[in-house]
Amino acid sequence: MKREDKLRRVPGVEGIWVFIGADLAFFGLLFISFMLSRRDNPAVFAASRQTLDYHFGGVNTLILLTSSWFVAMALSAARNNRFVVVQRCLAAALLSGISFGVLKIIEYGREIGSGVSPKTNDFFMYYFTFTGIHFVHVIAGCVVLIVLLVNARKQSYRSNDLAGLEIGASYWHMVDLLWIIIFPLLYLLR
Amino acid sequence: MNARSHRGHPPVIGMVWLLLMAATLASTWGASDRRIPASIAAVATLLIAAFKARLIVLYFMELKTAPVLLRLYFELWIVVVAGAILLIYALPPNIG
Repeated sequence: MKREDKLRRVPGVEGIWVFIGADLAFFGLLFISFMLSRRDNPAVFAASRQTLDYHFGGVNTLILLTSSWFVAMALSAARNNRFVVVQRCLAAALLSGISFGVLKIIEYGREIGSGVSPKTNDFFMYYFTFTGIHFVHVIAGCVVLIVLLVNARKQSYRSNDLAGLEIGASYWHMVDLLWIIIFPLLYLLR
Repeated sequence: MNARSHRGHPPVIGMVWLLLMAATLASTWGASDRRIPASIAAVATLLIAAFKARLIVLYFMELKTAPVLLRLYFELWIVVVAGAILLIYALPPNIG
């Protein structure tokens, strides 16, 4: 085990990385498509972006990064068979993930209340598409975290059996990674 | 440090988290300041985003110690995405 540990290794299973890699490639194309559309309509994109409240996006970035950190800490604790710490970290990650969702719903409510929709213009079409698909990823991630938490309560994850936890953690970090690009692209880029 | 000490070592991932938080504060509430010219703010914001993405990929996803091809794919994704965004940003607007 010790010799193996020093070698390079794939976290979780290979399949999850195929899925994550494909998801990222898909989003990469969407980002480029957004930028090309922005170039065609600079005034519309600038005016629309200014109606967004970047404080929401910024706080949500901090929340999601913290959630990812809790998951990384859970994995670290599981490697040392610290079962209570694993559960607490996963619960904290789940709460952070739910907070992100609640804040996003409040933000959507304000935006829709002010009269914008995906039909308003190209900017908002992209805005609702990106954040909407990402939101679905967040919901799926919260379900994954619930499953991990249930398993952690049964002490299923231990130093010699971590694949399940690593798969869930990798997925959750991807949700974080996507937001790291989506947020500046939509809210910050002047 | 050997490969093993990078993998999910709590002080290392704690430091990474702090860097990620600081970088987010800098790009969200720093670079968005209207006194900073838009193009400089845009480059800074995207470079910070790429830096954050790389931290997540290497330390949270633990690809720093993954097989080279797997790590390379994710590192390249960051470079290509950030590079393409910056390149299109730098092009003159396509009006009329």
